[in-house]
Formats: sequence, C-alpha cells, structure tokens
Amino acid sequence: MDESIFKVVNAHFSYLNRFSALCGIDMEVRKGEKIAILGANGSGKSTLLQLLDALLFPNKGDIFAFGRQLLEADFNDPEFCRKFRSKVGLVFQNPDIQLFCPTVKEDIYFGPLQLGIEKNEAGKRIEKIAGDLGIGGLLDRAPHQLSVGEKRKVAIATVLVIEPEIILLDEPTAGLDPQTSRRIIDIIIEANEHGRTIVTATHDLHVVEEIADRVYILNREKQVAKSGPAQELLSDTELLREHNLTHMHKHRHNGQTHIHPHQHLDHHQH
Amino acid sequence: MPNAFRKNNFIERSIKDAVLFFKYSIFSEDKAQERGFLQSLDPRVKLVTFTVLCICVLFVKNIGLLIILYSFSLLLACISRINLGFFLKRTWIFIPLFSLFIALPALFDFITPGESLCVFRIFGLEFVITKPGLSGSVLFVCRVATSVSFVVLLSLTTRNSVLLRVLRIFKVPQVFVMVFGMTYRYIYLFMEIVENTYLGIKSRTGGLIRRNKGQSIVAWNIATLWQRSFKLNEDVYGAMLSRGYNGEPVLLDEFKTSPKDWIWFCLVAVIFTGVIKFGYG
Ligand SMILES: Nc1ncnc2c1ncn2[C@@H]1O[C@H](COP(=O)(O)OP(=O)(O)OP(=O)(O)O)[C@@H](O)[C@H]1O
Ligand SMILES: [Mg+2]
Repeated sequence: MDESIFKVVNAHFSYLNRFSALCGIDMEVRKGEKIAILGANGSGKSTLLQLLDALLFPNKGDIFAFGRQLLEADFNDPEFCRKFRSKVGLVFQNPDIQLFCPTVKEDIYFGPLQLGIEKNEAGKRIEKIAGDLGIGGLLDRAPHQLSVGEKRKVAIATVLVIEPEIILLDEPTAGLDPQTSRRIIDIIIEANEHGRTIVTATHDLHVVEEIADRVYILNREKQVAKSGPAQELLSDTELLREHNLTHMHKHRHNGQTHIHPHQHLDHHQH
Repeated sequence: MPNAFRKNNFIERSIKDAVLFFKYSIFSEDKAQERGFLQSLDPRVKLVTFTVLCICVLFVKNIGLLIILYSFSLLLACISRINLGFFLKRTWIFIPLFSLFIALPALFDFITPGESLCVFRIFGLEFVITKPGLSGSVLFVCRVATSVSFVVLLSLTTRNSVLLRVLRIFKVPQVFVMVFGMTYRYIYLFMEIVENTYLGIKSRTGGLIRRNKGQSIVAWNIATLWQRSFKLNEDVYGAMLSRGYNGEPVLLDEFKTSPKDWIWFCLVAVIFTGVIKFGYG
C-alpha cells in the first residue's frame, strides 16, 4: 500500500508568469490512499489538481508520477500520453468546461473512445454508471441544457467510465442536494475500496472525514500549511478557522448575540 | 423616477426577449424528438436528399414549378408533425433577411432594364419598376422561400448534434465541424452569460439603472465576453486533453438505413431528374 503514485517537490506555478497560484508545494500520494486538499478560495487547489493531471506543468520544482518525472515533452508521445490519461482522471470544478460534446451520451463515450476502449465494453460501463448515478434519462440531452447538479453527475460519469487508477476530483459535491451528494460520496468510497486512489479538493467539511485518510491544508500564501491524518487536522479548530474552513454561527441566547465556529464532526459520532 | 424605471425596463426587456427568441429558435430541439416522417429517416440520407432538393430549387426557372416545390415542403412539414403556423413563421422570419436587399433593388430599371410597369418619384428622383425586374424578383423570393423552407425542415427534424456528426461522416474537414459545433455551444453559453449578467445587474441595482449607465455596462460586457470565450476555449481544450484527446476525435457512429430511406431517396432522385428535364427552361 505504499507505492508512490505522485510526488510533488517544491512546485511553483504562476499563471502567465504573473499571478502566482502555487508557491512551493510538497506532497505525496500513495497507492490506494484517499486524500483531501482543503483551503480557502484562491489558495490553489484547482491549480494543484491540474498539475497532477499534467495539464499544467510547474515553473519551478518537480512532479513525479509513477516514479517518472512529468515533463511536457513526454506528452508528445501518443503511447505515453494514452497510458497516463487512462490512469489518471480529473473531474473539473466547472462542469461546463468538462462537458463539450453535443449529447451527454457522446460526452461519456468521449474518454473511452479516445483511449481505445472497445465500443461494446464502453457501452456496458456507461449503462452501469448511468444506473449508479441516476442519469439514465439524460443520455440523449444536450449537456449545456442540464441543471448544475445534473451536469456535475455527468461530469463525474465521464471520468469514472475511463476507470482510472487515480481519480482527481475538484469540489465534487458543490451545489448538490444532500442525497445526490451522499450518492457521490458513496461512489467515491466504493471506487477507493476497489483500489483506486482518490484526491479531492473541497470546502465541504461534512464529507472530508469520509473521503480522506490524509488532508493537506493550503494557506493564502499558496503553500501547504499543514498535512496529516484527517481526524487530527479536523479536530484542530484553530487551524480550520485560520484557513476559512469553519462555518461561523451567529445566534442569540437571552438577548445576547454569540458568534462561534460550528463543526460537523460531533454529529458524526455514532 | 417612474419614467426612468420604465425606460430602463424597456431596454432590459427587449434584450431579454431577443435572447429568449434566439435561444428558442436556434436551440429548441423538441420538434426533432417528435415521431414524424422526416424524423424517422436516416440523417445521412436526409442530409444528401435535402442538399439535392436545394440544388433543384437553384435550377428551376419556372415559378409554377417552384410553387409546387414549395408546397411539397409544406406537405413534408405536415407529415412530420410540425405545426404549419409555426413552420411558416419560422421560415418567413429568415426570408426577408436574405432576399430584401437583393430582390428590392432588382425591381428597378437601373438594375434590370426593360418594359416599365409603374413609375414613381421620391425626392424628385424617378423610380421605374420594370416587368423583367418584377418577375425576376418574384422568382428570386420564391427560390429563397423554398430553399429556406427545406433548410429549416432539415434543421427542425434533425438534432444539431446528429447533423454535426453526419458532416463528419461526409468528410467535411474536422476543423469546420469542430468550429461549427463549438460556435453553436458558445452562442448558447453567451446567451446564458448575457442573461445572467443582466439578472445580476438587476439584482444588484434593484432594477434602477440609469440609461447611460446601462449602456456602459453593455459595452463592458461585449469586451469581457471575448475574454471569457477565449479562456473558456482554453479550459475546454484542457478538459479534452485530460480525457485522452490527441487531435482527432473518435466518433460514435450508429446510423442505420431502412427501406423507407431508400424509397425517399428514389423519390428525391425522380424529382431532381424531373426538374432538370422540365424545369430548366
Ligand atoms: N486562468 C487564470 N489566470 C490567472 N490567474 C489565475 C487563473 N486561474 C487561477 N488563477 C489564480 O490562481 C490562484 C489559485 O487559483 P485556484 O483556482 O487554483 O484556487 P482554488 O483553491 O481552486 O479556489 P476555489 O476554492 O475558489 O476553487 C488564485 O489566486 C487565482 O486568482
Ligand atoms: Mg478551485
């Protein structure tokens, strides 16, 4: 269980060499792990996931995947590219970006067909995933005409259908109703039980404990503020508050107003 | 104040109406889901036959025959469960757009000389409508009407996505199809952005925007729209790469022809030969 999948060493990244998005990140992801990346808005979570998916490459520092350094030039080799893309899947934060085909069905077929998976095999997988996610009725619709939650489910389906070893998810539960959100968490956990490695960026503290063994917290300086076991970091109220991760509750007792942080961990003790 | 409010509401309403109108007329796909005659045809056969029908229209020089072809398109609309009123509205919206600027000047003697039909004066200038000018213009409008009808029929009864796929099967270069498909998608996205931005502005100002301020917001919008579309394209490209895209998309191809398609094909072939033989003169 400790085969290294990703190793990020002192990675820096800035957009257009002006807007810095990551300033020296160190991170390691091992096979079969569940990892969550937490952080306030703009702390670089999405950027980090795109670096792991080799869509962006660091300006400084190195990223290793499967023991090999990720270099932009290597992706010109179609065979290497195909292998990497079948192993790593990314669910984008904005499903409008992820869905670009005319119909939902074609969108879900896109990955498998590009990666050379048999059409029959792809068809079978799609049927199963559509059932699991409850999107069977949407297959012939145009993705841009779906609701946000429906789009997100389809976006997740487009990645799951590739059956990647590593699934990177960018805020998979944002904007979903509680039951759908539950469904998605279950699917993530199930994928992990099948040996897949999961990396999730999220703000949603309700779900972190379930979808993460280890947590990385990014700070406003776009560095790793702290990393460690989920349980430990999530019970550190001070730390969470410092990084905008707790809900502040305001309410009145006997005519006096209090403001205090609110955590969801205590609800989950069974 | 109520005055300003009303004025401003008017701008907003007309923009919203325009957006909704375009959204509905370009993106409504409900007619394509109906189970009528044209909907049941194989899209490949449909694309070929409708192209042939449009070519027919170009060849016909006889107004009677054009009227027959036009009636044929109406008949097709009927058996494809398209409401005739809806269909007429849809086609006649586009026709003036195409024909007015060409047909109108051709009426007059400075473009089409010949026997004069009527003469009138505007600002001391003499305008003469000629007989060949009139018949030429009528022929032209009929032609436009008929071919627009066929194109609208095709687009109403075929889902846009299917149409794009068929273009690929006929080896229309991928760049065109991609650009076409993306444009289609982004027009939709743009409309959403425009619609939402207006809603956003309205919710922030409580509906009271002074008129000139409203205009500067419109100008700002168009500039950022470009930037947004650029960014969007880049991001979508990333999403495609992430799922294994490497230059040529592999397409899903699942069309089947049935005897009905071949009967229809033969019918169109007969019409075409008929037009070439008799209508061309
Ligand atoms: N395309 C871009 N061009 C310029 N700067 C960008 C771009 N995308 C992101 N940034 C900047 O990079 C930083 C990190 O952004 P990123 O999207 O990774 O944050 P995030 O943690 O995912 O935030 P959120 O929680 O809001 O999704 C931000 O400061 C942002 O302003
Ligand atoms: Mg993000």
